[in-house]
Amino acid sequence: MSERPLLSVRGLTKWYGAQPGCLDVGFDLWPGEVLGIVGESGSGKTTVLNCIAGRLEPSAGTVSFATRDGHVVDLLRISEASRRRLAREDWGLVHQNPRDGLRMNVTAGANVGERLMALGHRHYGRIRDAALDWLAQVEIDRARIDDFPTAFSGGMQQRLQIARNLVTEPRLVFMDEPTGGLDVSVQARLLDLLRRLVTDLALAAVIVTHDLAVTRLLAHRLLVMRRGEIVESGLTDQILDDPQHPYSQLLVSSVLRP
Amino acid sequence: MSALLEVDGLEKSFTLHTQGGVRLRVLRGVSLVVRPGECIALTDPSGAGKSTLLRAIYGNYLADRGAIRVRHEQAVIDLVGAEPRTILAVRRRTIGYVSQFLRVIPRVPALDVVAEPLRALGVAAGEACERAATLLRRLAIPERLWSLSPMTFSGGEQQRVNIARGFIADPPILLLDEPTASLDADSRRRVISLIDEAKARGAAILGTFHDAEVRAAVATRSVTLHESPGESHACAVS
Repeated sequence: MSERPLLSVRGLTKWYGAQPGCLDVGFDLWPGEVLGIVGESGSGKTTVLNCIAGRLEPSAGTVSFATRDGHVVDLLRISEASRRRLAREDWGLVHQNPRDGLRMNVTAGANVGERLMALGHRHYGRIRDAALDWLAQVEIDRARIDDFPTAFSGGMQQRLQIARNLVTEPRLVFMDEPTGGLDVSVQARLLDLLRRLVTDLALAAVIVTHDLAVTRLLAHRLLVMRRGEIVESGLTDQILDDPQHPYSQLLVSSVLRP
Repeated sequence: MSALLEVDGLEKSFTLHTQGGVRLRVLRGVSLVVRPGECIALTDPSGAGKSTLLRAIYGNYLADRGAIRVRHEQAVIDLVGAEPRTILAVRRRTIGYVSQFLRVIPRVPALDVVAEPLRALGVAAGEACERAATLLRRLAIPERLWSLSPMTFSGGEQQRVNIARGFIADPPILLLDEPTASLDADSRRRVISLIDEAKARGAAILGTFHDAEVRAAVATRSVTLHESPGESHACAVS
């Protein structure tokens, strides 16, 4: 167990005009830990994710990140160029809609290989081998490597997006409703895949979802958000089986259990 | 502390905010000690909080007050108020929990469900699966089922998968919630022998055993949660 968090968020606040997006949000994420952020639409969970991932500028707060070479940097204070470099080398970002995370006009192989090339890999054969390996890991037939993602089903596109993100072996992956637009049977397959990958690669991840069943399978720990604030945090199964806050209880008791 | 598990003045209530704020006081100052090689049976009637106690020790329920001290690696840790990652580490290495019902994960084969606790300790896939196979064989789960998700298994088969998963990593502390409830006589005997072996290797076991025969076979002591808190009032069963 590492002694230092990978990510430390403190006092994270974002105002949209007079409307709070998130208020004084703070948590630590340890290496290899999967954190789920749950709450209904408008609770601020995606705002938090976007502020941490550098897609949105927060109004206040710090986001400390432990880099590979042992430094701790405040993601909100470093230059745009350094942040882009970190994003390329150390992070992945899986969008809810695979079309936002893929390039639809290049092949599946190029989608996976592109991130390696951005890190300076130049050997075409090796990049293609890595792409083939990752297609297999996300259960896409290797023969589809030269097809365009437009020819893939939604579930396949989502798995391709995951391959594209993980090929560079990031230490931290952000996922925004990764199973959102998928059929239930496709969701189960994707969840199983994600579960295996985060365990095997010891990935740290922040997963935003409104689906509590997803967090039970994937997340070690949960933050429950309402109106921009964290109302409860703790072990995933503890929050799902013994929620303390009235809002968490409402959230958990509102789920239909087939 | 020579005990592996020590529960001290544990209180747990549930406040049902969605049902008018009703407050249920379930554990009202529970104390007990479990030493290596002991198997303690909780013998209160249904609804007295036996499962709640087991879940609170496992960190699944959040205790209000009191202490749950466990010997974890070389240290003694109080799980009440512990950080989630501490509880996860204790679950990985120190506490095995066999719940009444197996929580089935879609698409994951029974063999992997059982092997998972070993994989989490860093045991290689091959060895973990081999040990899972040995255990499933001992519990008489037919080999043709191993590669299937337990989702479609019978209640008794699911329970045996659950037991195999709880026992595979030889945890020093075992929490067993009705481990033989839906098992036939042959399966019960197989589970009893697993529990006996765990005691012999020095595990501390706390459980509920509704079946009097099973209880007589495995329990070294019986304890009730409230009328006679703690070991001093416990009555021997066998």
